[in-house]
Amino acid sequence: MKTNLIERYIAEIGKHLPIKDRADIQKEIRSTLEDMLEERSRKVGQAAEEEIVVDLLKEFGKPEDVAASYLPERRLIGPQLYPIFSLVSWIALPTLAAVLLITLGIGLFSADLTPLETLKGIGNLLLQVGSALVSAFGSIVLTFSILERVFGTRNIKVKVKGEVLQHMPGVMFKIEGEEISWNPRDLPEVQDVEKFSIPGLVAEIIFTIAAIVVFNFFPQIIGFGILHDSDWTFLPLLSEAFFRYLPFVNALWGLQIVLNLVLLRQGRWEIATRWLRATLLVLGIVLAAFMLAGPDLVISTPGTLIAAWPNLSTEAVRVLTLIPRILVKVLLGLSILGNSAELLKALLREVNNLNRS
Amino acid sequence: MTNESFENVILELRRGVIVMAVLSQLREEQYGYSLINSLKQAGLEIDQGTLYPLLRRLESQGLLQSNWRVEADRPRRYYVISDEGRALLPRLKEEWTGIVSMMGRMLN
Repeated sequence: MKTNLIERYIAEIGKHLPIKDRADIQKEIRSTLEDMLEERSRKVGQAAEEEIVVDLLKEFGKPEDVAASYLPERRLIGPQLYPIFSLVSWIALPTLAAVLLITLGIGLFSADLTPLETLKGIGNLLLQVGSALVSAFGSIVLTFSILERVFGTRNIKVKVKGEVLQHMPGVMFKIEGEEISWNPRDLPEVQDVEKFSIPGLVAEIIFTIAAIVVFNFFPQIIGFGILHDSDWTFLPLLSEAFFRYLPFVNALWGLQIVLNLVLLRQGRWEIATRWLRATLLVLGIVLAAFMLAGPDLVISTPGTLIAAWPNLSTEAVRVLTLIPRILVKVLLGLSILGNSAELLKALLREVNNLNRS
Repeated sequence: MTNESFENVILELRRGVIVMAVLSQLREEQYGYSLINSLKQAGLEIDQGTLYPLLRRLESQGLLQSNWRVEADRPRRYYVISDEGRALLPRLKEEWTGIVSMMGRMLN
């Protein structure tokens, strides 16, 4: 029980720390608490009871105050509002960039422009997007710095030499008669922490955006190119049936990007993100099953192949007709299996957490 | 001066010497809690909520070095003054002596 209390306390502190230093600071706090606990047990001549742990944690300080003491002073946006500021920025700025790039990009590429004009257009587009992002970021910072002044962190209290102090930028003032009133027993249970790799999430975001761009704006590049008599002939592969599924695929990919951004920001799984992940996995399985059972997603029929390359051998026609179909079915099958396995793992973890609490 | 104001001034005075005190105690490597105790024995009581963030800041400024070691199944982070910190300490001591002598003249 005492270990559980300490773990709950450390987990709670971690929620208020930046992801970069979180594990290291938590490890150091755990080590210190164990040292202090050992010393107190020795003094009273008995093993550390829950009561001793509770007193120790109360004395150590409220988790958010302990975390705040590790954050730099004099912030435009203080530690209480910073997580919300960061979350808003992480969602709003990439979304704004994506919307502008897509809307302005459609206008640019649908216009009949020379290569030079296209290049100029791309330059203008990037400038517009950059300026919009700077302006949006400025507005977010301004809003949060005003909120900070109104609801900010000037009243964080810390303890020095057993006295409660009010922590002002650069100075500490003692508050007479203040007492630390929080109960370590009220700390939430530690959940089975599911780790994820940050580079993995970032890579997934980049590849998903690349996939959205390719499948939506350059679908013609997914296909066969055959060199014949020093001339390249290209046959796009995706069928009309595929494009009927594309809005649903886009929606899933978009939500996956949002999920990854939120995870990067929060640095841990929360109830909302776990639900979103489970929903995405189920929808992914259903969509892949529909795509697998529905009409052909590729158009490489013997007719289209021979129309594109009249000199193609019968064997080549057979292979080129068969391979894309098999490939698509294998990929969809693997996607269903992968999503199902991940869903099962997530469910088992939830059951474990339920049993624990 | 009220008692509260007096305590605030004392607190500010102590805050000013914490860095020097910590650097002086870390000429031999110590882990955080043992440092708290050695400072306490030397007469300076400092809360862990003040000390640990300070240790991290001094390390990021290059004045301290740290490494994790496992002792009796428990990982502990040991801190020790760096070459840069070692070079800075005599200058801080000189400054401190100057302040003490200046204040001595002013107060007498």
